[in-house]
Amino acid sequence: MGVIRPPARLPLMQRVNIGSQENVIFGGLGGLLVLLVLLPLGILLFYSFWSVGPADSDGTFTLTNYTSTFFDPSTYRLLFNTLVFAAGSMVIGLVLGISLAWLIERTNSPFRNFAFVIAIITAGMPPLIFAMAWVFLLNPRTGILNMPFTVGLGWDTGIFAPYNLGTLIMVEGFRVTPTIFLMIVGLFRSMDPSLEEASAASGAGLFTTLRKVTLPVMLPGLLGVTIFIGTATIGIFEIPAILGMPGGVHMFSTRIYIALQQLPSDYGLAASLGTVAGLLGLVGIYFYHRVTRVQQRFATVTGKGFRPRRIDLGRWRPVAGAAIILYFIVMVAVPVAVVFYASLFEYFRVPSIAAFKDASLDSYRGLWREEAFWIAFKNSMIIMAVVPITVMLFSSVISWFVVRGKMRGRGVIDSIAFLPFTAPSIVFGLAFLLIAFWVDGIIHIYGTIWLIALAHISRFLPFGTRTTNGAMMQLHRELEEAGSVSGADWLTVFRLITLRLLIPSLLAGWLWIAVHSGRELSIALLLSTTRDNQILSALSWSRWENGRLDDAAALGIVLMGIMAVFIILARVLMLKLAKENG
Amino acid sequence: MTVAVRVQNLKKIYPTDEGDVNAVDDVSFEINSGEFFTLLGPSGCGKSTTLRCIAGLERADGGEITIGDTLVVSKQQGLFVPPHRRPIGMVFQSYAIWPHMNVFDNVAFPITHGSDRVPKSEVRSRVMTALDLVRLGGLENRPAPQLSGGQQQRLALARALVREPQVLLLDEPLSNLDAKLRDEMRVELKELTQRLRITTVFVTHDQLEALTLSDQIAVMRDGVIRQLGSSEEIYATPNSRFTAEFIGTTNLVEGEVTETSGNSMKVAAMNGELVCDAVDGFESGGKVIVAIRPEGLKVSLTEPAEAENTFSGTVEAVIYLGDSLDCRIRVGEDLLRAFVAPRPRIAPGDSVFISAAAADCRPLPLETSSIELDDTEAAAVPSQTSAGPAIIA
Repeated sequence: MGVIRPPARLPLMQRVNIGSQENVIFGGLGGLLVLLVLLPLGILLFYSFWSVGPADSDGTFTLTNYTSTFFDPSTYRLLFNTLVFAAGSMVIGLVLGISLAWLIERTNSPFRNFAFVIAIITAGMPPLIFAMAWVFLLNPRTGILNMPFTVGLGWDTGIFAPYNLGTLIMVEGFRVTPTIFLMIVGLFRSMDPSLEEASAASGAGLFTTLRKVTLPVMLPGLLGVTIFIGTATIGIFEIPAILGMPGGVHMFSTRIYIALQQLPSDYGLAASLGTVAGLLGLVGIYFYHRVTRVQQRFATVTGKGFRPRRIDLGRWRPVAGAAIILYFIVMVAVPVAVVFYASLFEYFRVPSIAAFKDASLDSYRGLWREEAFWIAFKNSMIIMAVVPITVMLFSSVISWFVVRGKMRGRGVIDSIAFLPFTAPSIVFGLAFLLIAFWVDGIIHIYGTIWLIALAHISRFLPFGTRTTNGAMMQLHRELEEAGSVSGADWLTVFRLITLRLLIPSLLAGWLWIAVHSGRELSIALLLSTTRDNQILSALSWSRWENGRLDDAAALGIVLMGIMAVFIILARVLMLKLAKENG
Repeated sequence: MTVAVRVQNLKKIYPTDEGDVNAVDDVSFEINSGEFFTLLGPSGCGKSTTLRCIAGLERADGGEITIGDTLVVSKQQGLFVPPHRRPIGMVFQSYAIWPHMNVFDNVAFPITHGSDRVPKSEVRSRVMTALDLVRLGGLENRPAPQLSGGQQQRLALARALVREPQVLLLDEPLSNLDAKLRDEMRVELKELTQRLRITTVFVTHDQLEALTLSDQIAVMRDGVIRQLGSSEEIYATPNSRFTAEFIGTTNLVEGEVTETSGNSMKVAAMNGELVCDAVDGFESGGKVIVAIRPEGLKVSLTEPAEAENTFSGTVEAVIYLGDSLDCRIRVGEDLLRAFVAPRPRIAPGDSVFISAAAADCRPLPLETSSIELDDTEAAAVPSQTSAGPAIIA
């Protein structure tokens, strides 16, 4: 054995760890999260207990906002509407989504690939288009589905009416179907098909197997999807705004909107309603976490690529094919065609030969010449360029600390990053509006596109961290450790190894956020206060409100086109990546 | 000889739902420069955690670690040098080859992005030298995922060696290879580390790997080093029932010490008397376990003329192994296993005489705590039964 030497002394920087890269970044991360998430939600909470809005001075602490909210019977009507709306649309969405996912993943139904592509495109469709389309279809006087009664029988109004809770539920149910479908396809893919095969081998028929084996095994996953989408549905604005408000059917989101649109704006009411809606969301999230924890314990998810034997539908095959075509017609073809049709006329016309003679692209030409359109177009592009990339990078760093880090407080960081999911989008609009008022003396961000971008980043952060948390867990820890023991510092390893290997997941999350950010309306509704920070979705909405249905429809079509280009580009990129790595 | 790695009173605690677990509990050892040092033990014994503490991938909860002249961990002084500032190279169980880089870029990473960067002009020759060392020359432009398991293993080794580290850390590098490849790589690894004379810390649960590669072995269990010594010391003179059972195959015979005198001691066992070479720490009247390796037992049909420790027994089972017979022989209460020559042929039911030299009888203290190998440990040592004789031969 060698001589035992006294250990060499090291420079101070190496002895104290406070200055290490990770800790500096971790601290910065916490600070950013406080600014982006806790501050807006905190301000919202503050104003829910404050007697006056941000424009007035000398306010006092008060409980009136809550007491007046809770003593008002219309609040309970609101609560009832919102819950029935969410529950009803989830039932429709789940039935359609599960059926479709089962047809596509487990049977030899025709048009499977077609249906998959349709689902991806419809999941990216702006809700605004969907809502408009159903107004054009169901309007009592001019609605296309009412034509047999109005044109055919000469009645004043047809039998369909758009502005009621039932229609709201149906339209929202249709709207969430593709998203539910895409999530459930994932569940089907991660389930071991031999469980179903064992049931078939025991003599159970097709539907017995589906009822007794497939669905029970997938139950925790299904519950997770239900709560996830259901919470998002509670916050949706476009559908209740276009189909509910005219008929006096209100939800949390539209009620908050009205409280702020009226003069003077009732910030206290809006803030307290927003807080209640946020608490509802928190309850949802609590159950979501419980359910997904159960799901992780379920042994169905193995990460293996199963190749299931498809069930032969036999003589039911044409029926399944017809169902998929019908789905395509109702979900995509009709809404898009109707909205496009509406964009061709200055005033909506019942389809007829005479009407087609007057059809023109004037609304598109008009937009092309309008400066306001180009400002909104540029702003939408800025949002779609800045928000998704920022969220995904930010999420990657957060997920690294949550999944890999050993710091205390990383669980808290994870929870804070997920908090924005609980509140409806319009609440984020309100919160950032209040912030903009507050900081106006220091930085002028009120009325700029950057305010909207910040609100979007905060809003979509949970969707980013869900993606990156999952992806980071899949990434073998040793790949990064190999970088550290090669002598590379934290940032180098994160840049050259972690981020590089996360790219496929980052791209998927990026696309999701780009599409949702590009079509997001309710945040911009409160924050697009000047002509310079309009975005396309808000412009479309304001034209709709002003009765310029042709412009609103044309803008909807333009927005849809932009989404389609984004989706196609991203998918081409993903396929290319998959080929390179495969 | 200089000390390349010194680990002193290392402690690592993992908090679990059932309270804290001492993954590494007061472990100390020194590794001389150029030595091949193995941490051997069943899964969960703390061997990987110890290695990861040396690498800096885990933060120790107590103790000190020195690499070369540099103190890298000292809980007392609040010192922790992060992994990227330690002069190490490491090969992981999963190889951790970066799939988005080709072979060249994988190997070049430590000298282009690490703390030991070399001038651009030197990178190519350094990488090529490292690749040639592991016989991967010519594959530098291959995308890394297209390599076979064995090639990925070599690539990981080249990447660990390219920055010419002071210490090479190997975390079960052979366990993911199939049996034949594992044998080849073991020989190659031995040859390579000897040629480079690089200080190596090797973690394995495979006793055959440990015995064939190591200058020194630390046998670990439950976070504690149970025995530290050369391959031969560990195999021939285990100091505990655990080591005896974990490494190779062994017969354990319970008995009572009847006499200790000079360099031999007598044990009442198997209805007779067993003479063993003396080991410190035993007193007359104390309970003892005597470990006898199967190849240490001589079996004959007739009573041997001059042999120590002769007992008579009955053959219960014989397995024909080609070059030898694996026999179970009943001696009183005890069932002993012996490896004997195929001729003269012994058959079940035969009455035989067995004998063992005093030097081959190793008295061990009776362990009271959890001395049975549990399931996971048994599963972790699959080659246990066949490895014993191969080592001695």
